[in-house]
Amino acid sequence: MNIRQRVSVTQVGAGGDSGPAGLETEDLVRRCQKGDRLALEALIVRHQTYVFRLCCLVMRNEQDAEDMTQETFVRACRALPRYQQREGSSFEAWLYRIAVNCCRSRMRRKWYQVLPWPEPAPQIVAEPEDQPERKAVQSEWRTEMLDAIDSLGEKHRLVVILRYYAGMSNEEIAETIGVPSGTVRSRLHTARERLRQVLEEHEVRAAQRPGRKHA
Amino acid sequence: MNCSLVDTLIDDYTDGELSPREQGRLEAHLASCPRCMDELRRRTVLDHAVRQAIGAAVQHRYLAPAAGDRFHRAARDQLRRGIWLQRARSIGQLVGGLAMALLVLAGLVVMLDRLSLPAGLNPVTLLPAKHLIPSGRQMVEVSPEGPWDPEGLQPPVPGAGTRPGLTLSAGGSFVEPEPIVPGEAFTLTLLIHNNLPKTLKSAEFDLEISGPAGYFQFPLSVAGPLPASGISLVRISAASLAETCQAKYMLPPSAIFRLPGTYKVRITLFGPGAEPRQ
Repeated sequence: MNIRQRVSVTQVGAGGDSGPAGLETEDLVRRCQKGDRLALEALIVRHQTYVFRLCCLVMRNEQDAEDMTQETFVRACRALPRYQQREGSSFEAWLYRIAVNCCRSRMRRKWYQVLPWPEPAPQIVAEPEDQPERKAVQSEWRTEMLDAIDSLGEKHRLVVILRYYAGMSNEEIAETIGVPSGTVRSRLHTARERLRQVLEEHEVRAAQRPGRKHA
Repeated sequence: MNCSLVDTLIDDYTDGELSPREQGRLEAHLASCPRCMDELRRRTVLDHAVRQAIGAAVQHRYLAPAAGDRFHRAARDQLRRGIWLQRARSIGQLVGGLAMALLVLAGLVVMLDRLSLPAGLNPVTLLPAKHLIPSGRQMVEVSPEGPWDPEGLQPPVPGAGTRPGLTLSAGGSFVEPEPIVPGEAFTLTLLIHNNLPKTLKSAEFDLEISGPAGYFQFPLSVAGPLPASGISLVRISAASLAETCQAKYMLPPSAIFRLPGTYKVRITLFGPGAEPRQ
């Protein structure tokens, strides 16, 4: 899985010095288990944005996602002294599993309406003259894909998020959501078949649209 | 590998879930099959598109500036509590383990104390319990003088059966239980044959037992009548030896066979026709 690569991206703003923030995650975890407060702070800073975004993807509500991020770290720190890294599994996978379980338990307790995907904030692009057209195409394409993911249903949506955003393996997804890995494989296959249809329809429309090319 | 198999494996291939062997076989097929290679390209494009769409949906989401501090404060308290609980759990496990070990030790001591260890064994060796109590014929065997008769038949006492008077019948003495358990009650049975044509009122005999526990000699008498030309059954219980045993050897009769091993029993009859008691 590529979780470690993703984490190294979020760590750019905090790492690079000789303090705890520059340590590997495993070293930070070991220090935290001994009660090192600085290591705990570095560990939270390193993962908070990613956990928050994962909660956002699952819950679609920023306020709830922030609450669930805090709950994730609270539960994780309560269990951290007993945490032992298993072979083939990472701290991040363990943390994301807690995050997903927090979100799911909240969603079970409360009637939850899955809100539509929010519009992304304007971004600076390299070619200002292409910006309006590129933006329109990308926005349309992105909305179609996200709508298709929504249309998959809660079970399939969660598997897709854990695979494509959290980068979990089938086994890790299975352990997180409590189903056999064969079920995860089956749900992913179903989801991909549906998303492939959306992609192919989009490509056909993009090809028919004069003067526009697919991003 | 055929194309239909590739269709089933391609998900696992792009997910990195295939074994190196399966991966090698799949890649060999992909290199020679344009259809499957096109399928792989489409799958890769799809994966990239989904990842990009999901990433873009939350790319602009950031936590509130104060959220990090709040997380840290809440997590710090829980971590401290978790460490304390973990230490308490470790101490509890240690104490529980020690208590269990003490209980086992106490149980062993009580068990060993209840066992009557044979004096010949060294209790320090802490042999398994089955070795502490000998079983079967290795316990106490009572044999007549001379070779042991497996049928339990005892030859007549030398000198007694060759002349008229009192003799022990063939197979005329046996011990119950057989073998005797050290320290437990026993009974010695005699079949005395009166060869004389007259009934006897009484008879006297000596009982001698020698073995690992020592030598014991008991002068005994039988209150008749012993029918003429008949056989009389005489039972000697441990209780009947108690008084003599206590007076003569300062031991209870259970101490006669207190040690495992082979014992010899000799009966010497005194009466008309037999040797007089010395």
